[in-house]
Amino acid sequence: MLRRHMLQQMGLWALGAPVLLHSRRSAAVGETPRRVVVIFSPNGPQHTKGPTQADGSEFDFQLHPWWSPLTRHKERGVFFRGVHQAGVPFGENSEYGHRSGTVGALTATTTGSDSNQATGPSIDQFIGQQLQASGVVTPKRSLLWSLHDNASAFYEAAGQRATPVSNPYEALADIAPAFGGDSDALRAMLTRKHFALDHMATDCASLRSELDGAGREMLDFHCANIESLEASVKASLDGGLAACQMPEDSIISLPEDADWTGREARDAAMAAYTELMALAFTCDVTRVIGLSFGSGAARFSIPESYGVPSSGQVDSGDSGPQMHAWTHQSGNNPDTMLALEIFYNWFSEKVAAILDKLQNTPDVDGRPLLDTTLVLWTSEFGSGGPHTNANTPVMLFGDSEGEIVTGRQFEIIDGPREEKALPVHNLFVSMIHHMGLTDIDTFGNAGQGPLEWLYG
Amino acid sequence: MTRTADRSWGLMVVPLLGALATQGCYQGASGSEDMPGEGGDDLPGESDGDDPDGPSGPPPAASESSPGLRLLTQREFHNAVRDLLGVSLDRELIPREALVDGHGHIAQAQGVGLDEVDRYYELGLAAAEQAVLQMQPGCDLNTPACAASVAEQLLPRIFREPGPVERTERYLSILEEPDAGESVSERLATLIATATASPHFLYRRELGDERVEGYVRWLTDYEIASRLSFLVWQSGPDEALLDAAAAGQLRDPEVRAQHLTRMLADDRARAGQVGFALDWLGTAMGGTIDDKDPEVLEGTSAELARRAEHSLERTIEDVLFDGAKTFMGLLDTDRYWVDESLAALLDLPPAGESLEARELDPLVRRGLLMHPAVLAAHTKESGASPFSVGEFIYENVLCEKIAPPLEIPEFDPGQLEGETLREQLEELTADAACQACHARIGPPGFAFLSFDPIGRHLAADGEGRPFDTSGTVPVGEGTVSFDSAAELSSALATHDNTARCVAKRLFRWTYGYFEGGDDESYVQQLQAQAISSGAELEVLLSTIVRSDPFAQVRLGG
Repeated sequence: MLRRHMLQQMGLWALGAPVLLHSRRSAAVGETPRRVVVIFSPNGPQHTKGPTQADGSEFDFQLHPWWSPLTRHKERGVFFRGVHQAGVPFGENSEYGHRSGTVGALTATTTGSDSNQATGPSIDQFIGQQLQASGVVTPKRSLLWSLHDNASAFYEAAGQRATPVSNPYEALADIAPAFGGDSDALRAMLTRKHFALDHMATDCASLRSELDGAGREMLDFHCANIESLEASVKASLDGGLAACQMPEDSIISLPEDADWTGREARDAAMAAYTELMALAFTCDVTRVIGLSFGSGAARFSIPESYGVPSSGQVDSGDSGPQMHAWTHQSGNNPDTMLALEIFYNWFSEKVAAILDKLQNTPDVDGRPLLDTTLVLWTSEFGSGGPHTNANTPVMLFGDSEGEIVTGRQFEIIDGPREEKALPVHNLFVSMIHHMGLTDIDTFGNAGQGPLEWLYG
Repeated sequence: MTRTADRSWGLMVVPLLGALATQGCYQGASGSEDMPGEGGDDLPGESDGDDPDGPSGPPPAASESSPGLRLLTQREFHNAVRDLLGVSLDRELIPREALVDGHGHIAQAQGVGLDEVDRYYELGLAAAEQAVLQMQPGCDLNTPACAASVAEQLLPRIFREPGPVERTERYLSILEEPDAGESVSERLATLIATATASPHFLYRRELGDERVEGYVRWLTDYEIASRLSFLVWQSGPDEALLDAAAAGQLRDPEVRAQHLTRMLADDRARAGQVGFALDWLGTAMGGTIDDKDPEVLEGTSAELARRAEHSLERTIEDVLFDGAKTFMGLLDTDRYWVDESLAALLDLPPAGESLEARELDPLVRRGLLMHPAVLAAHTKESGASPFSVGEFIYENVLCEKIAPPLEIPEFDPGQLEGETLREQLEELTADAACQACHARIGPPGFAFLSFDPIGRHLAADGEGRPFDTSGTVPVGEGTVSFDSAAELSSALATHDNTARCVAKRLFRWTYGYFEGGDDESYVQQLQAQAISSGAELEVLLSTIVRSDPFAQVRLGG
């Protein structure tokens, strides 16, 4: 709302779209950028051990029917079976339900209590921060979109949840200034903002010098973010890297004031975010995008037309045609399996559509975007009913320009939780290395180095 | 080089429930046993350190001391901008504070992320541009001299202190650049937006300037002025307070008390005290009426969430300023301020477009725990949420601590067919390990089974069976028994432990951290006042404002 309002004030937003996106930018010189997409779905599955069928082997396996829409991208994917979610505490009965599940899934840290907060950043935010620290400055450090009002699995830092955008028009307005080098009004706005941020940075440094301990840490975070925004605004002023143009037709099929976090808008929202993702990557607005299907314990629902049956009231008090209630239903109830299959087919189809788009959109060098993009999809639980983090579904797509050997499943059947969680920590490090940040060898609270198995 | 990911941004998480590695509930029901954080083995001031100038002993635990900075909450930012610029921003667009165990004022848990940096600036710019249009300074704002005089008057109010001359001069230079083709008045708006997005505005600085003992320092007069204005008004200090600070008067408890009396008579106090009450009632802890399922909202006004919020705030004002004038009265009020949509929802005599007071049916509803805007924050989107409501009452209203749940056993609703939801849930949690907590959160939660997630009263469950809302819950050394939520609420409104909880929460609200060992006698004194006065607003605020710690800060690790 705020950002659309700002563009409206400058006459740069009309009929539901920024008017400045039609400018064509010159092509870039240099290496094709690497990108990463991090997708989180709520509640976890139930009554499965992961996205593949039992009895398969590393190269010869079938996807579980719930994930079948991803079959068309199976050869570009790596599927994890039997892994334990990263970051969670490893004691019996100490998983603290949705809190630690949501906290650990992308941060690979644990609260160790019910404080409901991660003790480190999520992988997407961390990569964005580290890229910028290494001198790769894009107009947006990272983007985070959500089908709900919040995105509780995504953290900017310990204890600091990242703020998502949950309306595609707001997402469009958020990235629009990165395109607008030709507009005088926009240049003036960005120049003023850059100037203001410079003063804020001076104030922040001066206040920080008076502090130590926790107060100084608070300002370290704040000052770093002022400087980060300042660098991003400058990158917008300086112009982007790539050739990009706004599509002629609107990429968003519902009006601005639609109920964008409601169930009936889900298909339109995902279609828009998928288009925006390709636009943001080809124009090098950012190299990191997070996407949240819903927060932990989300009563996630999809349009009525998909025919999800309505659950009776379960122990948590929930009911209705929504995911959280169904994950708490007995597996002996055939409707449970039907409902969860519909939900997982829907998620899988949306992820597959993102992969289609990345495969079919040419990068600045003419190759598909997917060649340089890694897409991770995971969830808060292995099993949503009893809230366990064993057998968490983890999937990675893209081969990092041939470095990763795909079309495989990684399987751990036996072993303690620690051992089952470590590959996921290593997988996060592999994603960091994919982005060129090869001097970083750990992520979260355990593990060391990348997942060597990935590289064949 | 190897870097450790989770240290790279350096923020600490407030340690909570440190001892909570295993199952079971905190049994401590009174006094200070339920304080979160790591207990005070190493209290400041106990060590006989050699350095007479430096603090002695290790610093207090981070959650039991102040980081020296208090980030403005959503309401504080809103109110402060309104009072400075005469512009009321849409509060929902302002970054919201992080909650720690249901407390919105824990300083150390707050942070300004990347998106927030941007939003504070954009919001400030929107407000500043509107304010500049409204200003009537008696000179032409497009002349540098006029804009500079306006800025020179505003900056000390924005920063809540005159500040160094160099800073003012640096800000005034914004009126001369950048040269992006904008007018002087546009530059004035940029200057104001820069100031309201500056850490000097966004944080209340509580660093002090003179050591009292250990890690305790005297606040500066300007810091005291801000502490007082944010406590009473949830907004920045006015000219009178800044003048008193400039005159060095605010270390005098009597001067502070005089200002308190003056400030409580100002309408801004109403909004300020509503803020504390909402924190206690936990309205930011969960969803709102807008989040409920369509079948729950069927037949209600599309504006119900906003209308219920107004109703709640107006009723809190009624209790705190026109009625009982006590915080306990919030649990015992016999009337709500409602408009036509709320009156219809709650089966009260019809009301008009604007809010009017309506007596409640004493057998159904009493106090604000069953107000739609409160219940909506502690219930799921549909159905019943007894454990969530019970946990809220036990933790937020009574300041007791509940452990997180054990692994939830798989539950087949069919297996207990024919039983009521309460019977099913009692059976499911009958195990002794479960009962350690569920004996405490079950009964108060079940008392609310006869309300739907937006506060409608229900006569019977879906099968036509009446609700069993009776129960007994351990509170403090004894128990409280009740037949209904209304009875439970009335009982809590006169219970000493509720008064103790109000005092504790007011301490945390005022000082921005959880009380530690060194605060014990101070908190006990406040609790005694709360018990004897029924947690009377003016008595508690006066006790706090007159106390020495109000002019001090405990800095820590």
